[in-house]
Amino acid sequence: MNSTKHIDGKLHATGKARFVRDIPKQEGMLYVYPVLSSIAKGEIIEIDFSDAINIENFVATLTYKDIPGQNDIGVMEKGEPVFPEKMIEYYGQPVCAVICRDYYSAIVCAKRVKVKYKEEKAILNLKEAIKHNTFFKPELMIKKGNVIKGFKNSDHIIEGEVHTPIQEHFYMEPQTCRVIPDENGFTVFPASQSPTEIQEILAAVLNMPINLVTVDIKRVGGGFGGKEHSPTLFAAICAIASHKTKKSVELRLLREDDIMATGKRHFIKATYRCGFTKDGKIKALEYNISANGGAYADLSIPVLERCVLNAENCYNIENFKLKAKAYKTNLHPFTAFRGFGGPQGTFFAEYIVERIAKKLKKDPFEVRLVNLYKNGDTTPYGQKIEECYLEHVFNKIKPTYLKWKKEVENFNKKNKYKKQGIGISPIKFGISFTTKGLNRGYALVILYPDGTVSVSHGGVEMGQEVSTRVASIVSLILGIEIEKIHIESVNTKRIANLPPTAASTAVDLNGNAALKASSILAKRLKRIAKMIFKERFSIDAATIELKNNKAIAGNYSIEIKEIINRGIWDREKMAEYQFYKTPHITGFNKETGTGKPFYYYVHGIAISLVETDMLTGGFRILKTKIIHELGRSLNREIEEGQISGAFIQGAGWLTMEEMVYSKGKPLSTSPSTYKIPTIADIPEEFDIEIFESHSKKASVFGTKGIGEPPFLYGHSVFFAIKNSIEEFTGKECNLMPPATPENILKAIEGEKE
Amino acid sequence: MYWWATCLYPFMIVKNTELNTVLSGVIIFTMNYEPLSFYLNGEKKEFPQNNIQRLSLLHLLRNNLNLKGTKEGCSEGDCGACTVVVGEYSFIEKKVVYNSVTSCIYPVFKIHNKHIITIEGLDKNGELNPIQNAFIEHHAIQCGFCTPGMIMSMFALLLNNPNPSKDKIEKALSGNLCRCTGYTSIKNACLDVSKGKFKKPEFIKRAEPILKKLAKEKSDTVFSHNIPNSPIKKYILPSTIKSALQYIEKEKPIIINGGTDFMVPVNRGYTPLKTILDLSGIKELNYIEKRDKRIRIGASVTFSRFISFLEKENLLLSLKNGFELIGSAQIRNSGTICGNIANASPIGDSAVILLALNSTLNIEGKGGKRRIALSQFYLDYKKTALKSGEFIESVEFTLPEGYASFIKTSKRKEVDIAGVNSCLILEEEKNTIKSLSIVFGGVAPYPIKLFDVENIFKGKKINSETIRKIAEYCFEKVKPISDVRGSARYRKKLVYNHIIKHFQNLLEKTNE
Ligand SMILES: Cc1cc2nc3c(=O)[nH]c(=O)nc-3n(C[C@@H](O)[C@@H](O)[C@H](O)COP(=O)(O)OP(=O)(O)OC[C@H]3O[C@@H](n4cnc5c(N)ncnc54)[C@H](O)[C@@H]3O)c2cc1C
Ligand code: FES
Ligand code: FES
Repeated sequence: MNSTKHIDGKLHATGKARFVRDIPKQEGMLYVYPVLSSIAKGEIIEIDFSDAINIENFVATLTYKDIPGQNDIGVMEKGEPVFPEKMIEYYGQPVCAVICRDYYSAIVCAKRVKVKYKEEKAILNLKEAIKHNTFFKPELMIKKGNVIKGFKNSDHIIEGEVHTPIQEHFYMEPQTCRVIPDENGFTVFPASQSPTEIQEILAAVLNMPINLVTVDIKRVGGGFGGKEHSPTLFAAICAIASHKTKKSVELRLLREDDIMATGKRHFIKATYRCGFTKDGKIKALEYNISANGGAYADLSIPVLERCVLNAENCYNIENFKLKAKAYKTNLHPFTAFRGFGGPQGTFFAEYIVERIAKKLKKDPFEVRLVNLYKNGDTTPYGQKIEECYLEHVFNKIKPTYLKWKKEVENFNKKNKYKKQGIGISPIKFGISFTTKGLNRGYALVILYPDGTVSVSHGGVEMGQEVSTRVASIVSLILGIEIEKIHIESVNTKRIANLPPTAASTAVDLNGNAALKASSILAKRLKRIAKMIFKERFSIDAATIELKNNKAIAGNYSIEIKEIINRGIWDREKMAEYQFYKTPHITGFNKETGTGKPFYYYVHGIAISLVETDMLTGGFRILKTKIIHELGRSLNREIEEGQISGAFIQGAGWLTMEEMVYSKGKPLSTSPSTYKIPTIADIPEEFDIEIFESHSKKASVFGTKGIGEPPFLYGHSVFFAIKNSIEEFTGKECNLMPPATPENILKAIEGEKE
Repeated sequence: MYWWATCLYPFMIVKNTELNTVLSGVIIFTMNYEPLSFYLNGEKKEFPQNNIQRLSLLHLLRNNLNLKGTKEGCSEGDCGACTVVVGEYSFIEKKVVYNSVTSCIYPVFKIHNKHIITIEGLDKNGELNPIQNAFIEHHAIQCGFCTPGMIMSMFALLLNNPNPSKDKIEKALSGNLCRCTGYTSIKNACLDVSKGKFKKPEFIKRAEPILKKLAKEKSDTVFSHNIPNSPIKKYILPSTIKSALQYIEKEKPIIINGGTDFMVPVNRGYTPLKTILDLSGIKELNYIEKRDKRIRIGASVTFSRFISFLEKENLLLSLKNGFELIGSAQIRNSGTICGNIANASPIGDSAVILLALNSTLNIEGKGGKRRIALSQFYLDYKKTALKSGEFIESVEFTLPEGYASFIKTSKRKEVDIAGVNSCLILEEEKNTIKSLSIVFGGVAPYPIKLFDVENIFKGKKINSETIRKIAEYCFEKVKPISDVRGSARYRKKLVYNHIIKHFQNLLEKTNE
């Protein structure tokens, strides 16, 4: 199991794996392309299609009037239209669409649509939004202890403001959807992480019962949260086009329009006040957190929720008080993105801890150590800390840290314009949806008489290899080799009422459901096998093992396919549909600010060593070491792949990735202006160590969710850069992410002025 | 937003190609409607030119030939998902070379008489290529969307060099974005297959003599096609300068070479053009000449061919990095140095270097040849001294004596456009400045050479005082603007710092 390769690896490596756009075309298929607004806020006065409809291959226009059902795709909060009837809320918002016979013509045609607006004053940043106090409800609050007392007992108090930047998902496969009309409904092939959301919302938009809309998703070319809610809008446009033309329709956004129009990671700002003793022990921490929530509620509230649930990160803080709001602005929506607010919250905590160390002239490693959570502590929201491995990973990495620290000191003595720095980022990341009701998984396992298996489950495959991992579980339990197991697309006619594939829970939830289903089947197979053993070999097999496609009892064995055949003809059920729900969680209660939202926490630590050029603001990551806690390691390559990918994505977020706007218009809408890391940006030395804690609270087979937590390791790169600058200037600098060369030079200069 | 239009200068890509006077003399056109003819994964293919629906090779592969393995992630050459390999005979290296190219911005007509290799061609008779095996074995695949492009980039590298170093692998793959893996597993897979596991496949070898033969017997080719809603109706691939000049006069085409700048807006549905003339097939423009210290680079020389030349001849190594930092391997394989000059971007990397080298352009036109100093070539943003109907035949310069250094500051190390780039060439004598050439990009509507600097600082002792003064001088001299790649203030700061850094580099060099 440990070395199981990507279940579709061969298909991908030979170019045969199909993404939505690779599905063979239907006869007469059409292409729809949205017309995006060119203002941030205002009223639509007139849409002029006269130039557009004259072009070759034109088929039809599409406006809100063509929507047969509700013009609303909001999930958490209603009021998010497919096409606005009147008011434009962000630059790049789809206003209407055109349908043509070929894709290129649709692009050209959309450009020819002229929309007349009456522009209004837009709220373009958080500052203005705070001034207007327009926010999505509710406001969140968490309180523990008594901060006033805490500040009184502090030797020092620091205050300030810190923020984290917007991030574009930049999944490699841009938003895509295909809709095919059926005899009485529609089959939808979206590149989405949320099959059920699409099914339910499209049914409402198309004004038809849910059971006539089928959503089918085989795989997604990268999601990272960017395909959780964002695809729903484009699937809706595609479905309306198909409804209007009675033809198959495909929608495929150009990269620039994808970046322009889709949701991103929230910009979040925190003002903080932190009191601590002369030893660096935090006595009180008070936060006021504000997120730029964009034009529609989208997932802003749940994202904000996870932000505040992570705002203390790994540190036990006796007296804690927090308020948080997500403000409405006239920017594209802000949505789910790997870590879901967690990266922002933890960044604030780490930023503050770094400042404490600077203030006290102490090693930031030691300051962290003094404040770490221990078993028995309680989080600000009241969840008890159990099975905490923070101290353990700190002690494990310490020798490396000290060694690097010496190297850095030496280097910095010898170099004038190049300085090195080390950054640290520990994690304690809770796993489970913080909305309790979403923590459910589904699996359907079917056995066929040739010994092959079909597995459907509720997790959308988007590169996290939920398929490989679920297949491994089924394979292990049934004793059937992985080559004989086929993981099906997520099809809402086989597996339904799903939570989105998100929150690092896909394997925990669906893997457990698959485990249940295959365990039941294994038991059944063994029962039938026992009978066959008796009939054929006259033995009473006390223990039967399922392995290598066989049932084995001592020296005797029979093929599993034979058992399945027998089962079918003995009228046994050779399929199982199973369900799993995460135990012992309560979700987060927004009213009281308390709860036990997480089934378990994932722990770990990263240290990074960077070298920064103080003249150009360029930097290189020389080394990174990560120690990551898992209950058990089940497929090291998949786990390391998730850690490596998340780390680089996190490092990109805080360094080179920068969304640039002009009056609400995104300017960095192409890979030439929005830079995600390349192969040349990864650490020159990169060491990932997996620490198997054998935690009892872990999930399926003792593993823990791994998609999101390692994203937080990227923080270490930012703090390493910040520290290298401080080595140069000799003072604390006010570098804020993203640490682009420009911001680095600004931070250097800031200190000199 | 494409890479250069993000400057706040007006959007414009077309230079004036109107002919003012019509030359007398007979122009003979042979409009042959021969099909587009090429090799695809080892097999000869012919495709009727009238069935071409879009200008990019990617579209032909995915839509006409139903080869869906090649992916589309950006349609502007910047993500690598659409990478395929083109095998063609190089007149410079005198052998068949293999270039990774981003098929989304590769004009489809260029494939005429070339060998296109796509992901579908790699496994033969059910047996995977060692690169494919290594990707599976090392778990270098997550969502898989980048995988075919990655593998093709690696395939091109290994065809030219079966045992590449870690650096070469990074260079070859930095134009292939992956948002999932963090590249660690991809790097491991590539390092593994670079340890002698790769052999040039037979189908590739078999095509080589044919490609060589086809390259030598080239004739003019004119394609016309039916792209709905595209005003581009004709694509001319002349085989000689003479015929090119005739077509230019008659058809008033837009002249392109690699097409790396030209294609980006075409994919987006903007382009006001009718007829394209592609210079890349003209053998006479495909040369690098070295006479004593004089180097001359023909119009069709790509960055990659020039870099190989510098490596082979051990020349200009201190400035080679400047060319290696242009775009990605795929872009360097198609983009030309002369195209980079002609494109007149304010931050064109080769323009900055060539200006510092005091280069001269050789220009071809209906009125015959003329020469012009590169420093006289740029007139304003995206405006050059090229007259209508003219094209750059070559650029030439003398190898510098003394010290040369190029610095490019961008958000990302690889495949990024500079915020500011600069080149400094210095000759010293007894620690005083004998000659000094400084050029900056990204601080004016076009790359600028600071001429006065030489006069002012000639004869000065090279010490920290002088260096600071030069930096201050340059800082005062430039007047950059703010755009998506950085504020004016930041750019000015970089100008100062670049000068300090150039001298810092020089110091490190002399201490070595
Ligand atoms: C993804 C990407 C990354 C890039 N990165 C960089 C970078 O880092 N640094 C950088 O400097 N550039 C970069 N570029 C631009 C670079 O590829 C081009 O400037 C290239 O050098 C142009 O050469 P070409 O042959 O492809 O030109 P084409 O696209 O064929 O032509 C470009 C322009 O020049 C004209 N032209 C071309 N050849 C001639 C000639 N011989 N005589 C007269 N006019 C001519 C054309 O009319 C056209 O206007 C990048 C481009 C892309 C797509
Ligand atoms: S599709 Fe991105 S480079 Fe071609
Ligand atoms: S594997 Fe998903 S982009 Fe590379």
